[in-house]
Amino acid sequence: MMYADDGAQPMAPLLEIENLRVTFDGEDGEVTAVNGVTLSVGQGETVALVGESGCGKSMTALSVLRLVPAPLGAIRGGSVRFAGEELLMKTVEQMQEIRGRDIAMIFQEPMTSLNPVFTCGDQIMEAITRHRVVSKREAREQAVEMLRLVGIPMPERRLYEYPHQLSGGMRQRVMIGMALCCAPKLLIADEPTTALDVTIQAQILDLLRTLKRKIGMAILLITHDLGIVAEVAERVVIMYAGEVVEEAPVRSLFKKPAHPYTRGLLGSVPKLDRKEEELKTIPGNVPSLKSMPSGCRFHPRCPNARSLCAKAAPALLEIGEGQRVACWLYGLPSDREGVETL
Amino acid sequence: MIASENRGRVLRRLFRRPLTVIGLFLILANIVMVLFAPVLSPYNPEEMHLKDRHSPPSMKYLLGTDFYGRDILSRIIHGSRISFTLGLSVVAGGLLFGTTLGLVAGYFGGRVDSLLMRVTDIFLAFPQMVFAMAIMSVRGQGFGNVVLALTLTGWTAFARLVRAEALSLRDLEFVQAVQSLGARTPRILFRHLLPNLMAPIIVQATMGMATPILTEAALTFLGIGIPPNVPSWGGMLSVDRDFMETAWWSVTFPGLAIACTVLGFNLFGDGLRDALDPKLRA
Amino acid sequence: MVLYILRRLFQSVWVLVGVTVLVFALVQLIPGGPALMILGEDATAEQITLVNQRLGLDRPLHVQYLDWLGKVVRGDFGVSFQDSRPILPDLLNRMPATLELLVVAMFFSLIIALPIGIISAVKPNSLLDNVGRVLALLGVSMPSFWIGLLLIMVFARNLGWFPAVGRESWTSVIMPAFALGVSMAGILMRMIRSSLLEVLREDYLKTARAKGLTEKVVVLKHAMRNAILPVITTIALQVGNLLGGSVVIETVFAWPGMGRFCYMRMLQRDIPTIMGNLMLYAVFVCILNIVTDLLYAYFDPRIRYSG
Repeated sequence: MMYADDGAQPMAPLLEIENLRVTFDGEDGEVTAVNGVTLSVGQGETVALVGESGCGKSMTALSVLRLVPAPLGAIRGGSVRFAGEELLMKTVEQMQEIRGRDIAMIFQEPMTSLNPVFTCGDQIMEAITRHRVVSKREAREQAVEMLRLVGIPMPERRLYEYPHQLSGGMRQRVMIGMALCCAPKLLIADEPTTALDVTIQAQILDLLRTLKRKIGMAILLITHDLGIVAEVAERVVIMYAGEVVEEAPVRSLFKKPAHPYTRGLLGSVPKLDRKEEELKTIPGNVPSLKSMPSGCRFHPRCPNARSLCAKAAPALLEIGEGQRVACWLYGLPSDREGVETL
Repeated sequence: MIASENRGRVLRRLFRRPLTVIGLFLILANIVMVLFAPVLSPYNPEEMHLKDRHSPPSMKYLLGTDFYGRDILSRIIHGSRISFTLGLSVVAGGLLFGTTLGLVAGYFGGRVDSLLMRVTDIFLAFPQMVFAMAIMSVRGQGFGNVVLALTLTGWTAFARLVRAEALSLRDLEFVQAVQSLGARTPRILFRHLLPNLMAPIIVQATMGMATPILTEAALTFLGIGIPPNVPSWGGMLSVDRDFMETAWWSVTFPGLAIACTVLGFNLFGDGLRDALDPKLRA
Repeated sequence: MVLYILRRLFQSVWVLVGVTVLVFALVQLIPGGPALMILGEDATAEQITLVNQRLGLDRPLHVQYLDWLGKVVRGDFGVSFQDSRPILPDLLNRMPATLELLVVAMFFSLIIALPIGIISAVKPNSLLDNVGRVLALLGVSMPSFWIGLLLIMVFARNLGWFPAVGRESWTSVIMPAFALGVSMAGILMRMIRSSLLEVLREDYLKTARAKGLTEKVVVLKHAMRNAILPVITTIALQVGNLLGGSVVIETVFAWPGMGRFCYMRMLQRDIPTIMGNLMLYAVFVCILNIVTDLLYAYFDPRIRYSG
């Protein structure tokens, strides 16, 4: 099936991350950047992974491709299954086959994400020839086709241009073209529009949406911007300080956000029908990874915090259709299984 | 400027690496040789033991003797004086000349800068060794001439370094603040800019000891550096180079002395750079 | 790009003009002047005047300079004090031997520095990295002529594997080139390491890995093509140093090149030859700098397609 319509029946998950733990060796010892994250992406589904910078969302994404920068970063536990296969058990060579062919990734900075000394064409053709047995001419034709697909005018000429000769938006289009040239089943897009102008942002998001329909791939979109989540995602996973705090279909999330942090995030999204002074921000700062608060990691900034919140960490609990939240507001320890009462 | 609260941290970072400590040890050993040469030497470095010519290392002569029967250890200890004082003089000359020019070029920028940089380009157009040899050949042997030759060829390193740093500093707020207070230019250059350039200058000065020591040794080895009657490492190699198959010690140890001394400055300078400028650290 | 080359050429011309001033000034450094140097300490005043007249040294300095400059520009470096032969052909005849030595030395230093530098950068702070860094510092700390002496002692005199001196067989170049190349290898090793370490942090390598490229392709193709840029500049600077070092090495190994010739004429204080030789070295370095800029532009499209 080529078209994955919004609201279609969820198929068997393409990507399942379970209880993922990633540590990072910093100046002052080891910190846990990703702490027990669980999430899934269905076939052809677009899932947004949302959180402030440093919350571990990029590390989670890099873990899927096993590209956590070694030797400082390391995946310490959990499971990442792709199309039913455990990626964490694959050999390095097997992972290299999967990267770019089954799972592709695009990054935040189009300015620095392309190699400055090779032409755009070379870089796209390299991605094609890596995974497909094609002649150089066929690879070039496919590269032109990809550039045309991502909406680059005069693709035959752009093929021979270097990244510095293109604008930021054009470079991000090249990145997308390069990522999609082997028709991956999953595209991981790490803040793909953050570094771009607002008008270009809209164009790139539009492009991603269109391509997704054409190719039928799933997208794991990493962003800190709830504004773009509403436009492209079907499901949203909210991360805070290395942990998932809420997960919901996009409509439910905007209609009735459950976690106080999600509400805070939504409050800080500017809306045209609201006056500027009403724009709320979440008080306090993101805790640093080396001095995590006890209990619920959000409690020092939470307007609804109780004494319990500082003592025990809440687990994810299903509260509605597809909506799960990790917060003591939705059930005390006694109501829950597997949580010790304090 | 190294603020005092940072000093502890810099020192700790400096001595954390064993190689830096080894470098410092080599430098200190060298300084001890320079200061106490007469006390440390078992023999007079000039004394010829004609019965013991090319005598191999033994309890009597720890590192053996040379062609004239002079004790190699004693000559190495005394030779350290030439290398060390020469290195210091050349670095001092380079500091004085190069730093001033670099400061002026970097601070004023524009035409002054490009003129002064063209001048350094001219000096850099010759291989340093060849230029130094040419100067020595017209001036003749002697410590002063070696210092002159190596300073003339070595100052550019300081000038280029200081210029680049000053260029990046001159537009900073504190410089503009001092300017607006009406400070005179020399005062701005030496009281305000220079202290902020100390870290790279100290590193360059430490590493900068290496080249003059090596070049002097080569010049003296070629017979156009320090006169042969003064004990110097390059001179020792020159005397015995034709006898190396019968008296390996006479060419091995003086060269080792040069290598260890230069290595000391390189190791310590390397560690200093890492400690003072964490940006450059890997 | 063409404009860029022209500008560089123009700059080089000015540098060379400055070089002529400096070379000319060198003669003025002679204590007592060239005449006294030629005639010796006990020359009479009349003799000195006579020599000065014959060499044209009695004319005003700027006239002497312009006269000399005019000849140099036309490729006339004058005749030697020593044997009255024209200087330039004698120098140029010896150039191939020196170039051979330089090229082989560069080759040695690159094949030593590249693998160690790359491994050091890929596995920073590993045992191999630390050993490599100590070796690099050791390489720059040893006098090249001493390395040469040790090589002769061990491999020529004791083992007899290589000829100690001269340029008779093809193996002759190996020892002098190695001795000459060691310090450059040390410097390049450090440069490659730090340059590659920096490049390895770049975003585009994440992209390359995400494409599924093997680590070998990522490092050797994507990273090295970028890391090599600053190394090119270092190589150029080092070739200048090699040229200086070759004077000493050629002397140690009796290598019949320009450097040894230059050294012998320096011992004899053959002023015209020294001046001519300095000019030739300066021209060589200037050409080298221009070639470096061109190479840099070739390797870096950001420069190739601008200004």
